[in-house]
Amino acid sequence: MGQRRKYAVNLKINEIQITHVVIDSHYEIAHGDSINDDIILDIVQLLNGLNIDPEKVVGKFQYFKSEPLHLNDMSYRLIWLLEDSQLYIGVANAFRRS
Amino acid sequence: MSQSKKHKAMSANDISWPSEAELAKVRAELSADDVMGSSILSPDATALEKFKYKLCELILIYRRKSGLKQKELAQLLGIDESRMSEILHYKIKKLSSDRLQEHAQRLYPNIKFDATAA
Repeated sequence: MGQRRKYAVNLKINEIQITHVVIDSHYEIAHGDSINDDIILDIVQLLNGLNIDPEKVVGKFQYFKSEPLHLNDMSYRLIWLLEDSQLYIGVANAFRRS
Repeated sequence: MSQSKKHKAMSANDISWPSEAELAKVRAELSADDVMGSSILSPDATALEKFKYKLCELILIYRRKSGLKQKELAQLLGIDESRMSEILHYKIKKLSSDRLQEHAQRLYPNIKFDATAA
């Protein structure tokens, strides 16, 4: 599969019903030894039900930075995005902090 | 390839995605330590931490629904912008529950705070 992979989910973020997670393969370049799509999908679940402001808005994309995200005694950072009027959350980068 | 072993991956060709140039710029900017980022409650958060987090969330929701900019809401609440940013980023360790309650009551005059013994 190519640069991005899409998975079905059922989440609510910023009052938006999210139906898919799209994961950019960029994280594999530097962090592939400590994180993978399964971990990212588990981390994204931690955003369920939350209301979060974007750090940056560029056109129709809002960009967010969330950390620390705790999973199995590890701590992660997520750089993610939402697109106006769309129901997916995009993962631009993800890595383990500790 | 780090594709999920537990979930079925689908093609994302139908998703319009930011350009690689834009993403590279955003990743660099947001990865900087001086970009605060939003905190998430830890799994072992105390009742007080959960309470403060909820108050921050109410203030954030107010800002979003009112359309006020961060600076304007800070002025409304009589606080400086850095404190406003800490609230909107859920930096609860730096925030007192008393002040958060005051801010929430200012924005939601009919707000009620309950305590329930376990």
